[in-house]
Amino acid sequence: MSNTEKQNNIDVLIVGAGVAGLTAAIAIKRKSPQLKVCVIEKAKRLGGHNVSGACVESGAIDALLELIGSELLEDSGVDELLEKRVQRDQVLFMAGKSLHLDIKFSLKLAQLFGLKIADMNHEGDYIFSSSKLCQFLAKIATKLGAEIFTGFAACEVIWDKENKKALGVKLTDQGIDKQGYKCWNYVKGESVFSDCVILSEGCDGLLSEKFIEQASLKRKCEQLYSIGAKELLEVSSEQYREFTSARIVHAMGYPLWRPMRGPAIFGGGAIYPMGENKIAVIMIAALDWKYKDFSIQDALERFKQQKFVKGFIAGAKTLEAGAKMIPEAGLRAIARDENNSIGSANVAILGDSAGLVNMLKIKGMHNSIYSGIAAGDAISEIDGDYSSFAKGYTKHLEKIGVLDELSRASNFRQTIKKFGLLFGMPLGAIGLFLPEFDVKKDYESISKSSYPLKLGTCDKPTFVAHAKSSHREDQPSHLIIKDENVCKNECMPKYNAPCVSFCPAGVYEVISAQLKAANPSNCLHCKTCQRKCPFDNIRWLTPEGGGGPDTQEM
Amino acid sequence: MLDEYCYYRLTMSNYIVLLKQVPDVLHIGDDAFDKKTGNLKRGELECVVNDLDAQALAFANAMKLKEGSGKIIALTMGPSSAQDVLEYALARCADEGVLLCDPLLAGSDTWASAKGLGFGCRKIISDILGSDEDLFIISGMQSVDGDTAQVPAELACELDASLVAYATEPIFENNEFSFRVIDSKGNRVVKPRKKIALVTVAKFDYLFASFEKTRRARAKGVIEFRLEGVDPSDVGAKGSKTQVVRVFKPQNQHRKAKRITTIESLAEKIFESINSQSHNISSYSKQSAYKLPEDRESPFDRRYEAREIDRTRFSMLEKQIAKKPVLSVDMIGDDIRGSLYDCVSKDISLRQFQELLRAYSNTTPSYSGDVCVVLETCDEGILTQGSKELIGEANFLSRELGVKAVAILLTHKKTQLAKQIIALGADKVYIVENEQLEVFDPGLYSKAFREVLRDISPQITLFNASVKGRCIAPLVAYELGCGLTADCTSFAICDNSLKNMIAVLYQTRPALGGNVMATIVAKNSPSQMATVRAGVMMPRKEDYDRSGEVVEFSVNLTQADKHLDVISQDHQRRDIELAADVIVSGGRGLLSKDNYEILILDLSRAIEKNSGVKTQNAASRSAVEHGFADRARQVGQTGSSISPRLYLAIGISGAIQHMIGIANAETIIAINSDPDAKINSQCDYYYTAKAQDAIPQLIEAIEKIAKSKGGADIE
Repeated sequence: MSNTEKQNNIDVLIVGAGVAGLTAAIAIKRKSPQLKVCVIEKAKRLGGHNVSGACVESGAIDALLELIGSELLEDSGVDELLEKRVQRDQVLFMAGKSLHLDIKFSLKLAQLFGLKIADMNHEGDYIFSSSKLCQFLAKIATKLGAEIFTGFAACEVIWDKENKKALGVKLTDQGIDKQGYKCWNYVKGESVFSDCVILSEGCDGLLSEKFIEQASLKRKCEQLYSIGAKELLEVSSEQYREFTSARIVHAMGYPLWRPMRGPAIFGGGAIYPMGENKIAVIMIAALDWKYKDFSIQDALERFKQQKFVKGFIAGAKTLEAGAKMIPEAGLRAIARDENNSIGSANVAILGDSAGLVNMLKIKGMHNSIYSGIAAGDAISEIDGDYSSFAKGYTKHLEKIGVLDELSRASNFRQTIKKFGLLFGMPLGAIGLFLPEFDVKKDYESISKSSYPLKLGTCDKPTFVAHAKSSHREDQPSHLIIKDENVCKNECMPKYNAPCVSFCPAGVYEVISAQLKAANPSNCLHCKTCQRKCPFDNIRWLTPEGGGGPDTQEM
Repeated sequence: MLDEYCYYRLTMSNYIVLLKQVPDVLHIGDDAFDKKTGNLKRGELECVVNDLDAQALAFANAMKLKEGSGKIIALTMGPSSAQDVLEYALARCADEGVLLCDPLLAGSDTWASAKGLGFGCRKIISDILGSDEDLFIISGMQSVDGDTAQVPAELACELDASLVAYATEPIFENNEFSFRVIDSKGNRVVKPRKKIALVTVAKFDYLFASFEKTRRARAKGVIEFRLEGVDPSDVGAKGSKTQVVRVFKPQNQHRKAKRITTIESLAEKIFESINSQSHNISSYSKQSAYKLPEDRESPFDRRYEAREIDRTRFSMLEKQIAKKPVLSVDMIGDDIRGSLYDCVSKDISLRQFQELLRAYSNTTPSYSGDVCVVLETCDEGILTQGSKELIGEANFLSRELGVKAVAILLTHKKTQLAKQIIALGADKVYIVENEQLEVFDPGLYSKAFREVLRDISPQITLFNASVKGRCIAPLVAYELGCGLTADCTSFAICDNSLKNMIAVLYQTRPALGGNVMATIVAKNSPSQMATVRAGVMMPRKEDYDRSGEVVEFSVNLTQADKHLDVISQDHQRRDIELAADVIVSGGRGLLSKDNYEILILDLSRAIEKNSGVKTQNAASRSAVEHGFADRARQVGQTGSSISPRLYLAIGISGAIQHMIGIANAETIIAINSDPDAKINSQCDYYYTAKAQDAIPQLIEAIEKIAKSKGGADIE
C-alpha cells in the first residue's frame, strides 16, 4: 500500500461492531480473505454500547465456533467465554411484591401438547456478557485481517438512487460546537467508499432506517419495540452460590402486569448470572404502554425489591447499567425491497437492525449470528458484481432457517398488542390461527393514566453514571425536538411530557415551561425517545463518534 | 536592541510531540488489585494515551496551522505495544511516529527517562529533520500515572532548551511564537529564548481521528529507534536516581461516613463542626522519632527498619543476643553464632541469619549533610503556607538526623523574613538577593538554587509542590544528578540495614491518579530531593526565642541563564486565601455557573452570618473546568490543599485527587444527589439530595437554629 494512496476505498464496510457485524466480518474474511473488510463502531471502546441478556442458543454458538475454526480458538479465551450454560431455566409469575409462582411446569406441559409457547426454553443455552462476546469476536476478526475502527460514527449510506447502488457510507462531522459553528479542529465527515455495505447497527439503526426510506424498502407491519434496562450487580459470594452460574430466571407479571387492577404492560424481568459474584437484573417493557409517566427504571426498581429477586441481590453494589431497545414485531416487520431482499442491491441489513428477534423464544442473538454467517456466504458467491448481495444474503438467511423460525413466532407479539395481555397472551401462545392484522405504532398508545406502581425515586443520574455515558459537551445536541410548540401546547397539557419520565437517562427536562433535550450528553443511545414521543416529535441523530455509554460487561 | 543570548527564529519550525502510554486510571476497579497482596496488577490495566499528551498533540497541530508548515513527529518510549499511542497521533496529525524501544530502557525513573528521550530527540533531529534544530518539543504537563511533571523539565535540561511550563495557548505574531502559560498568580505570556523550546501543555483541545489517516497509520507503521552511543548506566533501572520500594492501596480515611436524613440535623452538624474544640495542630503527630545507630542504646537495636519483615527478624535476633554476653558485633564468635542460630532457626533460614548478622556492621548513615528546604513567598513578600509547612518538616527531620534545618529564600529586594523563618524552625537561613529574581524565570531560579545547594550539600532537599516548585525542582535535581520524588505526602527516616541503607528518607506519594500510594527512595544521588504537597504537613508554632544563623549568599545571574522573555502578565485576580474556618465548595453536580454562584455563595454567607466564623468558597477541578469558578478556587491535587474546620462539599463526587486536597479538613460534610457517590464513604456526614433542593432548605434551617440560640454565639 503506497503512502499517498487514499485509504478510504474498501471492499466491505460493516456499520456496527455488534454480534451480527463482527460475525459477518469473521465469515467474510474466512471465506473471502482477499477482501478489505472494515468495521466501524461509534463506541469509544469495543463492547461499550452493547447491551443484552445475553442468552444464546447453543446451535448458533456451535456454528460460530465452527466458522472461526479450532486453530484460531486456541488461547483465545473462548473457554472462559463459554463457561456459563443454563441448566436450570426458571420461569416465574410474579403475583405481587412478595408472591411468585413457578410456571415452568405449565411450559413443559405446553411442550407436551406441541404448543408454540414451549419455544421459550433456555436449557443448554450459553450465558454471555454481550460486551465480552463482542470483544472476543473483534479479536478473532482482527486476527483474520478485518480492520476495526472504534470511535467513528456514520450518518448515512451514500445511495446512488439512479443506479440503485450504495457507494459507501458518510461519517459524521467532528468538531462542531453547540451553536453549530466549526471549531479550529473540525474534521469533515469523511466518505468511505465500498463495494458493499452491511448495516448491523442494532435496534432502530439510524442508517438502516434512513436506508429503508432511501431505497423504498417496505414492512408488512409496523416495527414494535420494547425497552430493556439492565443493571450488573456485585453480590455476596453466598448469594451467588445460591443463585449458581447455571440458572436463569425469567419473570412475568408484577410489576408490569397485574390481572384486573393493572398495570398492564407486556414484558417481564430476568435475572442472569454473569460470573464471579456478578448478577444481572433486567427489566423489559413493550413500548406500547399507555401510562404517561412510566419509567423503565421504576419497574426495574420494583423488580429488584420483589421478595424473590431481593434475596439474591440485597446489599449488592451496582457495577454497570445500560438500556437498549429490542425490535419485537418479528417476521412481518422486516423491511424488504421489491425483490423481497432484506436490504437492497449491495446493502444488507443484519441482526436487530433488520429485526430478527424471535419473541416466542424471547431471543435474538442467535439470529444475529446466523445473519452474519449468511452475509459471509452471500459475499463468497459474488463474482465482481455486488448488486445481488442483498438477494444472496436473504437467500442464505432463508437457507439457514432463520426466516422459518421467525415465521413460527409471527403474529405472536401483534396478537398481544391487539387483544391485550389477558387474552392476547394465550391466543398468541397457543398459536391459534389468526389472520394477519395491522397494529398501531407504539407511540400512539399513550393515555392520560398514570403507572399505578410509580416509585418516583429512581435516580437517573446514578444510572447514567453506571452506564459510564458521556459525550463531548460542546457539540450540537444529537436529540432533535422537531417542533417545540407541540411539546408546549399539546403534549405537556395533555400528557405532561412523558419523555421526561421514560427517557432512562433523564435527557429531557422542562425548563421554564419549555421541554428541552437538556442533557444530551447523558444519552444512553437507546433511542426510545424517537419511538415513544406521543407526537413523534423527537429524532435521534448520531453524535460524534466515541460518545455514549462505555460499559464493558453488559 | 538585539539580545545576543536570545535565539531569533529564521526558518519554519518542526515539532516533536512526546506521548506516553499510561494505564487507564479512570477505569481502575477493585479487581485491578491482587486480592492477597493488595498490589496493583499493572500488566492487566488497559492502556491509553496520556490525556494531556493528547492535548499536547493538538497544541502542536494548532502551532503548525498558525505557522503554515512544519513536520510533527510523535515520539514515545516503551515496549512495542506503545505503538498504539503513535497510531493515535498518526491518525490525527503526526507525520511520523517514532518508537524508542530498547530493553535497556526498562525501569526508567524520570531522570533516566529524560536521558532516553534526549537521545530520541537528538536522533529525530539528525535522522528525520535533517539536523534542523529549529524545534519545539511539546508534551503534556504531566502523566496521569506518574503525576510528577518532571520528565519534560529534565528533558529541557538535557537538551539545553527553554522550559515553557503550563502552556494553555500558542500565540503567533510577527513570525514568532509566544505562549500563554498559567503561573502562580494568574497567567502570563512568555517567549522562549533558546533555540529549542520545550513546552508543557496544561490544558488544550483534542484532535479528532480521521478514518483515512487511521487506516494509513496502520498500514504504514512506525519508525523504531534503539539506543546507540548511550551509556547503559545512564538509562533504565540502572540509570534511575529513584527506586520504588513499596506500592500499596491508600488507607481509608477514618471518617465517620454517616448518613444524615433530615435538613435540620444537617444544619446542626454544621454548627457542631464549627464549634468543635478539637481543631489544633497537635493532632498531627509523627510516629516514634528516628535515632541514628550510634545514638541507640544497643548496637543490635534495629527497630527503624523500613520493612516489617526485617523489623520482626531483627527484633527476634536482638532478643536472643540480649541473653548472650555480647556488647558489640565483633564479640559474636563462631560458638555464639551457632547457639544463636539454633534459637531462631525455626523462623529464619541460615542464609537470612548470616545476612542479618552481617548487617549489624552497617551503622554509617548513607547520606551526610543538613536538611534543606526551598522557600517561596507570595506577592506581598510573606511566606506561603506550604513554605511554613516545609520548615516544620525540615526541623523535624533534621532533629531526627542530628543535623541542621537550612532554608533557602530567593528575593529581589531586602527582606525581613529570616527571623520568622528561624522562628518557624530553621537553624540556618540562606538569603539570595538579586534584582534579576523579580520575575520568575525557570532558568534564573534554578541556577540560583543550584549554586546555593552546591554550597550547602544537604542530604535532603525539599521543595514545595507548587506551580513554581514543580517547575524548578526537576531543573535543579537533573543538573545536580539527584533523584527527585514529586508530590510527597509523608516522609520517614528509616533503615534498610540489609542493603546498607542507613537513615534514608522514605518518601511516600500518591501515584496512578491516587489509586495507589508509592514509597520511594533515592539512589545514586548526592541529595535526596522531593517536592512536598502543601496542606498535608503542619507548620510549627512560631517561636521567636529560637536562634539561628543568617547567610547572605550572592549568585551571578546573566542574560544567558534566562529561559524566557515575559511579554505580558495578567495578574488581575488576587491570590485567594483558602485559609478560612469553613470552606463551602461546589462541584460539577451543581450543573451550572448560575447554580454555583447562587447556591454556594448564599450558603457561605448564611454560615458566616449565623455562626460568625470566616467562610470561603472553593470548587472541584471539574467545576473549574466547566467555568463555574475561578481556577484560584480549585481545591485538590492540582489546586490548593486546605485544612479548614469544616469543609462542605456540594455536588462533588469525591475523586481521590480532590480528597487528597481536603485530607486535613477536620470535618467533611457532603451533599450529593448520588447515593453511591465516592465522597459519601470518605466524609464525616453526607446528605443525599440535589443541591438545588437542599441548599435553600439548609439555609432556612441554619437561620432557624441561629435564631433559637438567640444569637448568643454570634460575635
